[in-house]
Amino acid sequence: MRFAASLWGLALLLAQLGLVLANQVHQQVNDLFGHNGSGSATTHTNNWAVLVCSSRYWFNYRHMANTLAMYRTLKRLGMPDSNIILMLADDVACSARNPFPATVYANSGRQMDLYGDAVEVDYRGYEVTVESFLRLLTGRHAPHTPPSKRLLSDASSNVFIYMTGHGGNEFLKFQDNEEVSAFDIADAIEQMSEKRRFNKLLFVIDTCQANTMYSKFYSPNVISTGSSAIGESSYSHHNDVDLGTAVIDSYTHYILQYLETLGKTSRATLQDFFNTYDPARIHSHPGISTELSPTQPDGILVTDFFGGVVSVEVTPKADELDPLRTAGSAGWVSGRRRGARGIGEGGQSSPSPSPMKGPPMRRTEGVRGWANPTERQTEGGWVGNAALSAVLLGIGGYLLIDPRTDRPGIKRE
Amino acid sequence: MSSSAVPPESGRIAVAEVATTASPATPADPKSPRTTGGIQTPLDPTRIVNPSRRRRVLILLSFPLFFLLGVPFWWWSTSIERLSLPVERIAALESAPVTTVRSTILLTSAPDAYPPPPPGVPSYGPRQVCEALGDSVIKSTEAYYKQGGRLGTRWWDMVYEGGGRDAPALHVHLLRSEYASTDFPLKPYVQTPHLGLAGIPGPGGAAGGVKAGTLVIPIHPKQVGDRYLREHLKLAITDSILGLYPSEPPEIPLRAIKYSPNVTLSFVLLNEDAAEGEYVQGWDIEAAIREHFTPHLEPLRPIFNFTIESQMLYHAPLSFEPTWTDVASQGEDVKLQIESALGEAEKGKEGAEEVAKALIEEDKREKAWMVDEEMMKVFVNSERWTLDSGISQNPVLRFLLFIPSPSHRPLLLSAPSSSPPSFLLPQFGSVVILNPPSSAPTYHLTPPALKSSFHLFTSHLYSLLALPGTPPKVYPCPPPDPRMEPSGLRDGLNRWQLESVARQRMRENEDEARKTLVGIGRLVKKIKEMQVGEEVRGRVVGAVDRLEKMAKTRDPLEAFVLSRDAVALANEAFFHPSMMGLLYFPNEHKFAVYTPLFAPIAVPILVGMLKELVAWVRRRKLRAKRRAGQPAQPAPTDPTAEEPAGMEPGGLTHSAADKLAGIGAYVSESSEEGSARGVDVVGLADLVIVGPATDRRGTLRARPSRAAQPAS
Repeated sequence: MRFAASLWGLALLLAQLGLVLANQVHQQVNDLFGHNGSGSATTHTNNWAVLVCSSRYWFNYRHMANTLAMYRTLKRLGMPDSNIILMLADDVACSARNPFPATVYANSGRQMDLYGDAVEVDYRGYEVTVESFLRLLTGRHAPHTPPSKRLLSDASSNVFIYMTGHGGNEFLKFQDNEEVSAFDIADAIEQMSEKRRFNKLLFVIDTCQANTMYSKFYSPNVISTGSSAIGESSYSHHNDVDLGTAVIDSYTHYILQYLETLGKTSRATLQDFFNTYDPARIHSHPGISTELSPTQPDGILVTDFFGGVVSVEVTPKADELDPLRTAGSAGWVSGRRRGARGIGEGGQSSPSPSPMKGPPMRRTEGVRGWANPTERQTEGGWVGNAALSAVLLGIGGYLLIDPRTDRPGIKRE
Repeated sequence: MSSSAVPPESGRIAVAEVATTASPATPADPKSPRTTGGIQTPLDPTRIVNPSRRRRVLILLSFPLFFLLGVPFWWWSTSIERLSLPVERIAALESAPVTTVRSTILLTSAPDAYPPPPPGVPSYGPRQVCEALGDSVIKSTEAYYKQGGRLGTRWWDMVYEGGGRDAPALHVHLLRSEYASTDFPLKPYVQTPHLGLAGIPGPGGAAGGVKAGTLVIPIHPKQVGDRYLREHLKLAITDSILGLYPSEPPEIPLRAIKYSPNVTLSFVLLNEDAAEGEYVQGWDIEAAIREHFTPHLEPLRPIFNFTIESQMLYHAPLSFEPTWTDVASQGEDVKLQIESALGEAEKGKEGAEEVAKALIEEDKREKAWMVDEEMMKVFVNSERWTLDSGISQNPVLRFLLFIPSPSHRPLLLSAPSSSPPSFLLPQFGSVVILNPPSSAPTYHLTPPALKSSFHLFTSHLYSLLALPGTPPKVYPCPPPDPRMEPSGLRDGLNRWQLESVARQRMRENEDEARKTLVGIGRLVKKIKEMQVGEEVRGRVVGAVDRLEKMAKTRDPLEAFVLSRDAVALANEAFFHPSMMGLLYFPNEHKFAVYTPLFAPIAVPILVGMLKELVAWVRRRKLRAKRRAGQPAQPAPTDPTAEEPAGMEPGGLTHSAADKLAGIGAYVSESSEEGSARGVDVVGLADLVIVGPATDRRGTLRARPSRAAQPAS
């Protein structure tokens, strides 16, 4: 084939179509060296997202809405909650000024409640600090930090960072209290890069003079984009009359509008995403920085960052046990009959399984956790559940009574 | 202030007023005549209200001195502790070659596994036979590595003697066995922990049986006399060792988890919706794990420490709706399976008929609920399913057995060919969909029902932990009793595989530890605000020590342990909370912090020092003039030109001295209760001199009475 193609190329050369020959040769070389020319070979297996809303208070409603809308979009595109670290002041949904309690909307029509059920805020309220954000990125936590508050990414992860709040030239305010500078984030990302905590990183920020925030980045494989150029403000998009406050920022509104058009299987690239930027509509000039990434945005899918599980491997037929070696349906014992049959029938009904060959499990140190309490609680009867409920009730009661706890929406004298 | 010794009202206010306008920081001289006695000279008031020049300078200098003394503390409290790291040693490690370990393989033979020598030739013992065989195996291995550009190195040595405690972990044994296949090639296998063929009394039982983990080359008595036996043995041993002990341990694929000494395995049985009925209410999970997982986990004990948890969920909804479509043709595989099942059933095998029936049912099935690949990616509904207890920081591998609800049965994967309804999620875990075979209100899964699912879980475990499989030239271990059927399950992990895992993970850890150490070094150099405390340095040094020691170690497991500790220490150092240190502080920030703090204090101090300097210069000039014999000039009435306490009376004009004497008398009178403390004589003198000095007391009375309003 290749020979024929070169002959064909030769014929074309004779026909003085040098350009076509070049194409031919190029194609052949591509054929020869196989699939690595396409550049779409994924080297990552999972996606992580860090969503940061660095504002608090009711009048910053839109920042909470920005972040939650992004959170919903990521989840819709299949990213598991365990891979999304959500940092949110989280004080608007239950604010006394919220006429629609326990809801957050990102549009004036209030079509979709972003708060709703199953929102997992990992850092909330006063936990959202510059320090916790930088510790999250670099992984330098106190030893007792639970896994849900950690960014457990590795060299095969694509990490998406979204930030929103009030900022300025090379800084972003955190809760009107402190600020993170562009240098801090650049250094944190460099530390992530040194520890190979990401494969590719996409940094998106919506704040005033946002493009200055990524101007200090110097680590490879980072693509960043921001809402407004230096000296420019980022504006909110529109207000809701009933809420009496702006509900979403302009830039976030338009990128979400674009992301809404994508599905889990979308083949749209980051370039397509950037092409939707329209400064006239956004009222500021979004910036894009790709010089740190060896792969240009037209070679990266949007779902490489905004997606869930990257790949699954279907088990090959060869791994299956020969059906003849299984017992067919013999092992399926009807639960009800089982209760009636008693112990006589092969020990299947006894709560503890029949002793098998091999050493008893409890003795083996390598395989622990047999009779662990979790198992008892999940599988065990109502006693465990009652105990658990009692503990939860106790904790709940403590939280209700304890005046030290800071819970949004509940004013204390 | 309410003392009876207070002078007339107006005078008190006057002095107080003067005091407020004067510097409050200059206390009255305790040695002044006010305390010792009355006023003798006109200069006394000066001494009373104004500290001595020396004292004033000292007071003035005490402030800068205080700051100077505070500088070390300020320096200590604001500087970042940056201990030096062993940079050279890290650099040496970075360029050092990867550590390699060398194993020894023991080659032994049963005395009857090789042909007896022909008559007249001296008989050789097993050791001599093995040595000759070992030499040829080494030669053919090296020839293999050199041939065809396959770069490889033989990382093992052959020994022929050893036993007891120091016995090499890897053992090849030639065994004469009645039950071995009579055909060539020879079919080597690795002995599993149960008693193998050698345990059966007979000619094979050389030393009371073969130890588990031994690579056994079974030789049938009929084969012993074969003239090419030696060649066959050489080929079989070389092939199996090449497969079991490759030159380079395989790379860890992306789907496998990174090394962590502790790993949690979470087994979850998920009923899609128990409320719909026909749900699984129990499973013999302990027995299933013991049967399927323990043989693989137990040998890994030197490398991994497993924690196992299990749970059942009764409501595990899917986040998507599978599609009800035609089942793709199952292909020839199923037909063959049906045939073989029918054949077995004819032979009278228990259960085979049932299997055949189920397979035929399955084959006839036209429509089913299908899960396509995109659905598989979102199959795990992590929002609704709690898949592990989350009590530890260990990486968790989840093994999910999904029972679809009756309205979604049968649930199949729309994957090519008749693959089992199971898939693997890289670094996450595995999913097996189990469709109940028949209808019943509730089920209980016994080990036989879990067998096929757990067999799949086992192979997923191998993928997720990057455990090496059995090489193609090594055959499964025969069951302990030749009359038993082989189980079809994977043989437990053997010593050879463990060695391979250790080498593989050792390389991974070494690489990770080196990269982390180099990264720490680079970051500390690059980011000046980064703190390096004693704890961090200790860990870095510990990691470097271990890596250096590891390069000298030859024993695979020992080297592995060193690499494991090195990577743990390096990671602890990198992720040490103190390494976060300070945030970035640009110079503008520092300026913004220190200016409001120091600027207001600095102004009076600097101005005061300037004044002292000016006064000193003036005094010098005055003295120089006097020495030149010129009469003293009248003291200027400029407030900056002070009348120091030590000045000669000649320095003042008569009128000024006179007035001052009057003031002094007044002050000494009124300051009985201390309200005149801190009165600056400069101010007083000024007040007196510039005022209409007709009446001594009248002046004072007249002026402050105007100013009395704001003071009160």
